[in-house]
This record gives sequence, structure tokens and C-alpha cells, in this order.
Amino acid sequence: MPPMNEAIEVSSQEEDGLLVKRVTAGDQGAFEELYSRYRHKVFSLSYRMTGNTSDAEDLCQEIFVQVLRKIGSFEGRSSFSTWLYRVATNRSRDFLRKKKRTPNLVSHDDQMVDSDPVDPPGDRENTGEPETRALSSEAQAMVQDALLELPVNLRTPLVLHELEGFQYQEIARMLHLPVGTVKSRIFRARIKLAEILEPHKEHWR
Amino acid sequence: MSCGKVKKLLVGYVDGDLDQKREDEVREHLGGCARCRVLAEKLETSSAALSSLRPVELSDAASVRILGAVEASGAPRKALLPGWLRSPAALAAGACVALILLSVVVVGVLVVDFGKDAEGPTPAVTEEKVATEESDLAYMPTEGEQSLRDDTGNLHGPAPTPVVKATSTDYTEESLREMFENLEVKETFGQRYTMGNAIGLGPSFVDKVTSEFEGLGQDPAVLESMISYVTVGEPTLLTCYVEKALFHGIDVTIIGFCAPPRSGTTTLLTRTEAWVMDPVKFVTSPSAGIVHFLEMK
Repeated sequence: MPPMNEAIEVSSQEEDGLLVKRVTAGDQGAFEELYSRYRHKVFSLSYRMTGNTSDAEDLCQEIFVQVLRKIGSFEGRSSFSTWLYRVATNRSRDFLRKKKRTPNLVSHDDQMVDSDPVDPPGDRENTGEPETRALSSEAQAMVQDALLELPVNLRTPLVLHELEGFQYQEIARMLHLPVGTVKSRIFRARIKLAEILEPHKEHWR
Repeated sequence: MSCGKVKKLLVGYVDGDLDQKREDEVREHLGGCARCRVLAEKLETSSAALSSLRPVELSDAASVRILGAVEASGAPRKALLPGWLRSPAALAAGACVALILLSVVVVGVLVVDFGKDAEGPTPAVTEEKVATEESDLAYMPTEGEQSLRDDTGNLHGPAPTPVVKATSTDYTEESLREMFENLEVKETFGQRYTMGNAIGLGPSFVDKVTSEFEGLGQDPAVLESMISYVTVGEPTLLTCYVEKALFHGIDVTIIGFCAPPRSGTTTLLTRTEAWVMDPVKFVTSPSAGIVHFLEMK
């Protein structure tokens, strides 16, 4: 069972559709409303795909730039959310390819000496005792690092299903893949993730 | 139940999504199959590991910065325009206005030349004159700006030119706004130049700032690309300010433009846009190179 973010409700989809119409008619406030609705979700996907705040913010920006550029091509055949995540996953793939070609670029996180590299951004629930918090943060960083070791074609459906809460059918529509392929990729991703984490699995027992 | 069938049901089993009958069948199979049991354990480990991840959120500061950059970037710039300016008819009308303004400039130059030379200029001389006037950053009059000239049509004082500098100032959103609010060149541009001037002078101002930027030991090509990226489709943005500086500790290039207001009747460049660009990121991805955007109406 996906842990969070249930599928977008019908009423919410209708509201999205109205907002899209207003954006294409020139209403800047409507775009800001859409941005406000989806910024954390898009950032979350970006962070899970890139593994650091700086890249995630850059990717998030690229995704919304693309959304605004392409919003006129949204025809309403799928929900706006599905369309948005399709744009987001395509941009993520391009971003990671580009990043791979220019590995020497230093990210902001690398430059910030004072920041805690294992604390994810905006993690407002991370308020436990210092020792517990440290262990928890360390374990989370291990999982995030393990995610980054997965090939992008496995990482993407895994993140969408397990962390962003989408059903197999929705992911299949986003990624233009048969549902069976999505299921099998998520299965393989979970097996591979566990194998990467095998030396540290006591953390999650 | 075969291993193949169990494998298909295993995620549902581990996640507790199977009905009772299926769950019992899988459990029975796992009791006698070590290979499937190992797979089930791995699925459990990954499930526990992933559920330990806490949700992440975009910080408020990044959220504001990204929205500003998105709205200000390239093609989406249209989204900042009021709806009536975005219809194809309005865009076509805008193109006509731009052509008329250019025509006014060229005709104005021809008239000036005829006045000086009774025999009149040859077309070649006219082109040369236009180029010379542009490189001299001469003021080109348009309707409504006559008050800035005296009765003989002379300018009050020299035409302002862009400011280019390299500093180690480390700006924040607030200090950048404060700096731009008090920027003298912004005021002088706003009083002297119009939409028509921006179209005519734009390229020569870009040459000027890139050349001065190179003189400061900076890369002129990236600056030119950044200005081109921002002004593409927006010929009425006139570069007034370039500063190599820091923004929250990151090396950036701050580019200031004077522009006509988005509404109202004046064509004077009274609106200011400041683009804070990360040149390193810009090279790999222009839209990711936009660090901060500031607009003063």
C-alpha cells in the first residue's frame, strides 16, 4: 500500500482543469495556484530522483518552466496530475542524463559546509532526540543513496508508487508503459534496493 | 501454486493487499520454498526502508524564487502579460507597432541628414549614419519625449549608458531590491529612453556591456548568451546594468534591464527587471541558470 498521497480526487481534478483553462486564458494567478498545489509534490519527486536539495530545486524549476511552456498542449484527456508527472518524469530523465555528462559541476549542497548532508530539506517532522534523530537521518540517507544506485527506469516507477502514492495504472499512463511492465519494474526495483541495503538491513528490522 | 504465480502475488502479499484466500496460498508456498521466501524478505526490507523516508518539502524561500524564475523565463514571459496583449491579433499589432517605431527612427535619421546636406544622403551614407548614431548611443526622439529636448531639438545632457562592474558584494533578495531601488542608471534610463530607443539601441548596448565585461576579466560570450536568452522576443528590454557579484554566496551575474511598463500609455522605460543568473548552470541549462528575478514597476 503506498504510504502517502492517495490518487487525486475527482473534485480536485476538476479544479485543476479549471485552473489550466484560466492559465491558458492568461490568468497568472491561476498558474500560481497550480504551482502552489503541486510544488511540494514536484520537489519531492525531484529530490528522490536527484538526491540533493540544490539539484532538486533546479530540476523542480525546469519542470515548472516546461509545464508553463507546454500547458497549452494539455488537452484534458488524462488528469492534469498525470500530465504534470509525465512532464516531470521526462524532465527528470533529461536532467539526470545531462548531469551524468557533466559530473564535475559542484552542487550547492557540496559547497555548504555548515549544512547537515543527511538531513533532507524541509523535513519538519525530524524533531526526535539527537541520537535517535542522527540514526534515523543516517538510515534515511542510506535509503536515498540506494535509490540513486537504481537505474532511472526502475527508480522512476518505484518513487512514483512507493513514495508519491500513485497506482500502477496511473504510472503506466504517465510513463507510457503497459501496466505489467510497471509492476515488474517496481518488483525488480524493490528487490534491487533491498540487495543494495543488505549490509545495513538491521536499520529496518 | 507455482513459483511464477507466487512471484506475481508477492508484492501484494508483503504489502497486505491480497484477499484472505490468496494470502493463505502464498503463505503455504513460502513455507516450502526458500527461494520465494528470500524474495519476500527482500520486498519487506525495501518496503520498510522506503517507509522510513520522511516527506520532503520545498522551502518557502526556494518556492518564491522558483516561481519568480518560472514566470520570468523565456516563452512563459507571455504569462506575465495581461490577457489582451496575448491574442494573436494583439501580437500582430505589436509587431506592426515595432515596425512603425523602427520606420520612425529611420525616417527621423533621413530627415536629420537631409537638413544637414541639401543634396541629400545616398542610401549607403544613411546606413552608415544610422550605425554611427547607434554606436554613439544617440537619443532618438519619439512622440511624447519632446519635453526632454529644447526648442532646437538638442538633448539635455549626455545620453546615459549602461553600468558594468565586478564586485564581491554578497546580495540577498532584500539587499538586491534595495540596491536596484536606489540605482541611478535605472532612473536616467527611465527618463530618457523609450520603447523605440530600446529596439534601436539594444544591440549596441549589448556590445558595449559585453566588451566592458570582458575588460573586467569576465566571459563576454556567456553574458551575451544570457542577455539574448532573456530578451528573445522582447526587443523592448534595454540593458542598463551588469554586475558580477555574489548572491547568497554563489557567483552570479546580475543583469538589469529597463523596459516599458506593462500597462499605461507612456513608452518610457520606467519598469526595471533584474535577473540574477548563475553562469555555470546557465551553460548547461539556461532555465536552471535563473537564480532570482526581481521586477520594479
